[in-house]
Amino acid sequence: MTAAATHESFLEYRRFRWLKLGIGLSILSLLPFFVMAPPAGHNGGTWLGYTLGTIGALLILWLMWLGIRKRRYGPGNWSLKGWLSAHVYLGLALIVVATLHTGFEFGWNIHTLAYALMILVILSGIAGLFVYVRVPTLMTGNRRSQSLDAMAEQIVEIDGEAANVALGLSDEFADLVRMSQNETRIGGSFRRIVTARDPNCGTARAIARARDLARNLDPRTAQRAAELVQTLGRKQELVQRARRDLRYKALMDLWLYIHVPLSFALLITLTAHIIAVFFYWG
Amino acid sequence: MRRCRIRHTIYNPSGRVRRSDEVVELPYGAIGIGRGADNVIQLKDIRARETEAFLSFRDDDIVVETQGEAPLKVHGVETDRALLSDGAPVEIGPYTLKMLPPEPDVDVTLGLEVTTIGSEELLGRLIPAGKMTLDKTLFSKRRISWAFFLVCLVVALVLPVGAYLVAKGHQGDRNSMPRLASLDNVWITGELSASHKFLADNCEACHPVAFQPTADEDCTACHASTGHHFTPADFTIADAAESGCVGCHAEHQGADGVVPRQQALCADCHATLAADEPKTTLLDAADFGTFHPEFRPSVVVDPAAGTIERATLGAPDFPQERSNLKFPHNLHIGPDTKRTVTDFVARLEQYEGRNELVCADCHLPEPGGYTMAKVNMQDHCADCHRLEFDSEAPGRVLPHGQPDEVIAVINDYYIAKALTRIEDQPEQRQSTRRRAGGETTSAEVRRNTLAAARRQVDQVLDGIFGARLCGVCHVTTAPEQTASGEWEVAPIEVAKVWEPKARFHHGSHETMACSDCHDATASKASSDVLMPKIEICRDCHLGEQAASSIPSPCVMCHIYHDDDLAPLGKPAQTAGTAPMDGPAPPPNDGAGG
Repeated sequence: MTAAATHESFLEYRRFRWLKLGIGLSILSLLPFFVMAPPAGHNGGTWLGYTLGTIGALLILWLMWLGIRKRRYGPGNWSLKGWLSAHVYLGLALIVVATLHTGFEFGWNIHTLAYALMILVILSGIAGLFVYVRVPTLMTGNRRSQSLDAMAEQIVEIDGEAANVALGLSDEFADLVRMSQNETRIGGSFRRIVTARDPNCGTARAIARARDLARNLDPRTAQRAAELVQTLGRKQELVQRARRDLRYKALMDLWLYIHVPLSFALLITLTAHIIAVFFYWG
Repeated sequence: MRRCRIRHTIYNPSGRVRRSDEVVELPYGAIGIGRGADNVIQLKDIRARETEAFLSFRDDDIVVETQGEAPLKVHGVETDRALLSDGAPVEIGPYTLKMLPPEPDVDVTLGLEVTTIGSEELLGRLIPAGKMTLDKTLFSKRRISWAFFLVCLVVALVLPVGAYLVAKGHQGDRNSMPRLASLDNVWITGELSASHKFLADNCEACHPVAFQPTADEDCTACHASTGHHFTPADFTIADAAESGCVGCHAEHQGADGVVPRQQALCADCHATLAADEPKTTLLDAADFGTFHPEFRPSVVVDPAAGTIERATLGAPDFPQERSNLKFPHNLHIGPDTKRTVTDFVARLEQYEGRNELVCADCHLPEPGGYTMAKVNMQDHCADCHRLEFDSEAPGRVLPHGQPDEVIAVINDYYIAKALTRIEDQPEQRQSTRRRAGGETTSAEVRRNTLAAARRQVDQVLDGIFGARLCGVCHVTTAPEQTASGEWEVAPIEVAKVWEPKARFHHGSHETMACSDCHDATASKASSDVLMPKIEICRDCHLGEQAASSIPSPCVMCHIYHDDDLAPLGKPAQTAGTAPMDGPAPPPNDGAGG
């Protein structure tokens, strides 16, 4: 493998082999659609409709197989990169195949539901592509070559420093330090992970309260209180970075929250679609 | 002052233990214990209060009293005051203070223990239960996937199949079924055609057996009389019915989707039919705008024999219609009228209150609008063409359409009139009485009078059936030339429909003037066929691909199923029905057009 090949992304895999195949499949589907004129107009029930439907259904099964394939390590016959490349481009070609299969007939039924689910799955996949292109850069910038574990350890260290500073301060400050220790969370719930925010953050509240308290102190104590505020400030900055790190990781995952569950919804609705049209055949 | 050794033990949760000693001088009085720098016994942990408690010596006892905010604990029991000298450890905030055995170099030895908060615990609080990724939270992909999968399974598969089974249990009786039986509605692939919408809750009507395609029998169960397009045995071409009803009629294609309208379906055969099927009498056609023969109306050429001939409009040998009717349109409408018929306008003004006739005075569409209603004497002619026969009896008219009755009426009228005349001549009556053998004379007079009356009757009948009344509009035959020896009027034979296999809807064209298509004002004889040529139609109508005319596929005018042929539900017979030359089927309202 050449040096250039090792840096080839899954989108460019083997000189866009799967992009070309995807376009080829789309053209092969479009041609008969425009050449043929079935008596009752295009729909899923003409022989072209059945053909496109069969291709589409098999494609969906194969595309979903990636979820199993990616869990098996080892190159196998195809590299995972090749699989991913095919997944992306054939998934996009599926828009053409399945839309032509519908004959542009839509309604409030499970058949259109299956189509809508499929489109949502593909759109979320496209969103995933953008995430894969954009988020890793943001993530690296945020981490500043520090792992999340290292950040957490540093936060705990700062907790110790803050405790030491607060030893010489009144109980009110000591309570703030303990509040910061006990009520600061990184992650913990779906919303906090995705938004990277905690409106109830113990450290943020401690800093605000400590600033208030420090106003009416004698200069010596005030200096110590300022030191405490500064220490908690360092903690807060680290906590935010750690939260952003979780958020970026979550973004890498979030599109899959639409992509994967809707894929399974699609799988069963597609099954129902196929059963239904042959159940009430004709 | 008392010397006191304090043995510090700091337990770290990781198992590490740090021990250190210090010796402090304890003053008399209350000795402070707390985090504050002014305490003698300092508690260097953030969890301790600035001042937790006070320690004091009372006789031989060492007493610890809470400062007030937080109580002490002895064996887990809260208390404000505890005796260290009892040997029991006293919990002060996070610390435990206890007396240790006496040592020689100090007055008292105290043990002070604390367990620090480990970084593990702090990390645990910072990142609760390791919930750093979305999958570790309540909304894991696996859970959501299962939820979606199950919801779709129930809605898209379980309920509809259940509905089918319920409906089957009720053997199609929709009225007795629970609402569950209509939950298979989510399977409907598209809107039903308007004419089948009453079956919307009754999938089993067309889909009686699961996983079996809809069969023709499911259609002909209702459409029992729908006929073939031609008699298949008479032709080599495959009957479209062989591909089944659903081959052309796809349901669930919208309100008017079940009737296919593509002209290609017709053109497939009809573009080359003459060459492919020499037996046909039809001319080829494939597109109304560019590939359709000139109209060939059915013309009555021999009314007596009922012979109808189809001839191409505008052809040099186009026959004259022999309908036995004399009706010059030009004498009734248009500019010629006022010039040729002197009392025309006067009569119109008398009966209609206007000075000219319009087409609709005689020609009105039939209900439904397809064909024109029959013109009849009573409604359309009699106002002007009054069948009065004697100027002495104005207002007395002859019965129309009954020549025998006319002859009888004339006989009765003139014979009665003659008899009345005898009565009205008193001199003649007296003279007959005076004469001998008067009866004979009287009979002779009566015979003469009767004979004179009969001559008058013959004269009057000649006039009535001849040029004066009947003969104005009808072909009549004098008694010398008839088998019956009486005047005869030839029955009217007009083609009811010029194009029996096409359906022209007059009602759809009511925004047009009649004269746009029918040149009646120039027609001087009823032998003219006033049907417009195809060019007139093409002013507005072209084939289905027409961009700036009315796209007109074949089925706009032609129907596919000929109900005069064998019904599709039964095997087609070779009963020699000449295709496309049969009698006109009644116009079928609502289909096509």
